[in-house]
Amino acid sequence: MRRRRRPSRARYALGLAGALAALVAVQVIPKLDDYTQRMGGSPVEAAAGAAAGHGGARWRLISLAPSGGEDLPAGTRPVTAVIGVTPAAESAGKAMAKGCEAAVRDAAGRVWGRDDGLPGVQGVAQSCLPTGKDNKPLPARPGVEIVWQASFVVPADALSSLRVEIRLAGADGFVRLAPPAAPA
Amino acid sequence: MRKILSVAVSAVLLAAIGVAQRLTPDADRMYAPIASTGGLREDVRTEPYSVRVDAVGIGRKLIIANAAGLRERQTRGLWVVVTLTATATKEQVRLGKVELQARDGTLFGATDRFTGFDTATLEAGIPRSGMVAFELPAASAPGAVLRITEARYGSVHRLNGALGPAVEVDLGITAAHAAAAAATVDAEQVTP
Repeated sequence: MRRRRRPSRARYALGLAGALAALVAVQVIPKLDDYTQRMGGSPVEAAAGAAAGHGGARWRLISLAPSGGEDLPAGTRPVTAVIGVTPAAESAGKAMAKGCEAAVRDAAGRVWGRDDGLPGVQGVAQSCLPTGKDNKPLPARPGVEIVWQASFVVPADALSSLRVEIRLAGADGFVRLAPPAAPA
Repeated sequence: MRKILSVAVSAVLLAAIGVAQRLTPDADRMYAPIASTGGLREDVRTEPYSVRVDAVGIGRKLIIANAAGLRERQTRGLWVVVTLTATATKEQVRLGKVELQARDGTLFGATDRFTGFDTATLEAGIPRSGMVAFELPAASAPGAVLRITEARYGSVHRLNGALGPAVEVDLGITAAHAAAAAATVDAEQVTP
């Protein structure tokens, strides 16, 4: 009569590792999406001065430069980002119609939202939505670039490492644009 | 002999269970915010912001300064006005729940009779100052501790209550301070 071989310790260890991996897969992976969403989503990164695709549109940072502003807190600087966005299709224009949220982040991970009290750049729109003569929003046309701006107040020590982040309402993730050169 | 030993070990184990049950904190203490503490004019750093108490004023009448001019607020107890400087660490945030905790554990919320610094928006790396006022019985003022919890983030909503950060600052108010409270104390309204 043949005796059955007992499984070796290595097999037990392998089984345990497999069970552990399955536990992680079941417990952690389904929550990763939720966690990423809570932390603001994953960025689509663009190299310095380059464009990046997000939400069916092409985004580029035309300039990020110091701008004007009065009665600002001590040790801060106003800075304005001029952004170009080109929707690839009508659906991208519709996504943009829900609004674009701009922010700047420095190398230390500190983030600042836009400050609508700053004058910014004259003659450049404040919103990523094109508007008609009566200031009513128009649908964004595919292939036509919309140039708009957002201004921020940041501590002076953040200026040299700023990146611009843009989120589309209802879209996953965001696009992170780096300026061709740091604001002087 | 063995039986006596078993009984003794069982008794010790039972006593240990009793002690462990008594020492186990209740749910409120177990999930309480994790406090960073400090004193007057000390920076107290937490994850969402750092806070410094610059001054404490005590009075029987509150004089509020805002864009419309001056207003008076009476009380049968005392007004405690705390001047703070706060800076957000990483992102836009508001202080959240600002309270005074008396020695007996009673919590007094910041008054809603004027717009205090608890509603101010803090930006990363940009210090901002303002005042928060509390109306409380005179007997509760000595030994009161300023307690700030439940920071409110501007962009991403996060649950920040249980096991979240807290700031605790002993305001250094003594019975003599409370007894010698000024007739009036000034408070300046903030623009959120």
